[in-house]
Amino acid sequence: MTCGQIPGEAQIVHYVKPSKILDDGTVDGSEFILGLGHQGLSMNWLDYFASLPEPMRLEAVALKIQLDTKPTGRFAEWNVGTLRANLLTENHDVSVLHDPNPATEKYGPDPSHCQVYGLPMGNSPEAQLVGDMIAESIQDIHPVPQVER
Amino acid sequence: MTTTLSRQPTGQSSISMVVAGQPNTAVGRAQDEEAHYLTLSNPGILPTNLNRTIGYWGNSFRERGNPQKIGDFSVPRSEHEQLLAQYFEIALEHSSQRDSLGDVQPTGSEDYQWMVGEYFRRPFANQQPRVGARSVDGDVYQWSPSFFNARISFAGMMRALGEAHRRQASPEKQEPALNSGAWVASKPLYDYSVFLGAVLGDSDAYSKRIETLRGLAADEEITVNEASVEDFRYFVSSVVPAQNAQLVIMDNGNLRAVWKNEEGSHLGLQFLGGHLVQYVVFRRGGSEGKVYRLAGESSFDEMRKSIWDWGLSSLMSA
Repeated sequence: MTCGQIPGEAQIVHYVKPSKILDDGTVDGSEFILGLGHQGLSMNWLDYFASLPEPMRLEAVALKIQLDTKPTGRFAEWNVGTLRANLLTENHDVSVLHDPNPATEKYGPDPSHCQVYGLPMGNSPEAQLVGDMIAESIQDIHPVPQVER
Repeated sequence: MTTTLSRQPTGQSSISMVVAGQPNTAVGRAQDEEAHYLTLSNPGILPTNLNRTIGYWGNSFRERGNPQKIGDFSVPRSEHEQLLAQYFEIALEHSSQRDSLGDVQPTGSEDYQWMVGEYFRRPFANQQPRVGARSVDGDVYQWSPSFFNARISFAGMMRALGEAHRRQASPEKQEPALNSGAWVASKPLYDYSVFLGAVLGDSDAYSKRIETLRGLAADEEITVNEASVEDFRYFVSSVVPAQNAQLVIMDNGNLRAVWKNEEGSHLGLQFLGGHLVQYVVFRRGGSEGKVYRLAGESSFDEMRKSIWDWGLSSLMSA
């Protein structure tokens, strides 16, 4: 259930699988190709946890994210406005919508979950090009916080 | 490094190297005395009269006026030795499979000799390399390519020849040794450029990364597309990259290789199998810092051609 647009000044993060991390420590754009049946690219809204001190916000994301993260994975971080502006240069007008995930059998609720909509679908050259642009727009890359879930 | 030696039949073994030279191109070698690196250097003396590649070692040199990497480059000695072990292993296997002795099977010991020949243009099975002989005594894995010597000029691809010295009778049985001392050349085995290229960072040097990616793929329940892996290896053996590709495994199991340069340009190739790639090019250039972006699918042949057309020769030469 989407709840509205994430503001341009917000920071969002995405968990990057170890297989998509290049030798130089950067993230490959193939991480951002939408999988089959996915309408949007999953992110987490860091500022959702604005009440927490800044260093703890990523820990909160890592605690709630509905994925089995690996210590060798990474969290990539973007500014929403910058990401949108960069993609617009190739005429991809994306929107980032807050889309909190309810609890599942395996995981608790993920209230900071959001999605980037408007990306090309499937494993197309266009999708890969946009994936590489998303990768180039990354502002920061963080290790996965070690949290007890 | 005992892998190769352990494969040898009973009896004493000797291993030696023979090196050939030809005029045209010169490269220099200097050996790092103190460290665990072998330092090779390429002074960049290239012939320009042949419209074809006359030889290459990884990134070190290439003809056709393409940009070449000139100067010293270091090779980790441990990796050098490891690759030599693999190299000799394959050579040994090849030697043991050949039927140069006809119906007469070796009954005694076997000795082995390896030859690294440098030939003009391309080697032929029956062509004798122009040999500047050099033996390797003791630990063969300490061998370093002496033909990277500024005093020896040469051109052409280099091949290793596996040679087996087979005594066809057992001395301990006091049988006469047939063909004793006859060294029969096997077919040329491998371009030495492949070996050195591997040391410097092309196809074979990707093996570790690919194995790592296989492990990650298993963790992430991705089935690796072997056709993609094979295609990648084929492709990188047919180009001269300015630097190593960085590899990832995609969720569909395909390998994706990314080459980047300091200007922020990059070429990403997803190997689809069937000698097809999906490419993404970001090219930065010009005073305005404009970025040109391209994406599509193409065959290997088209891709190699496009590298020039798109001005990506700083990333690789086709």
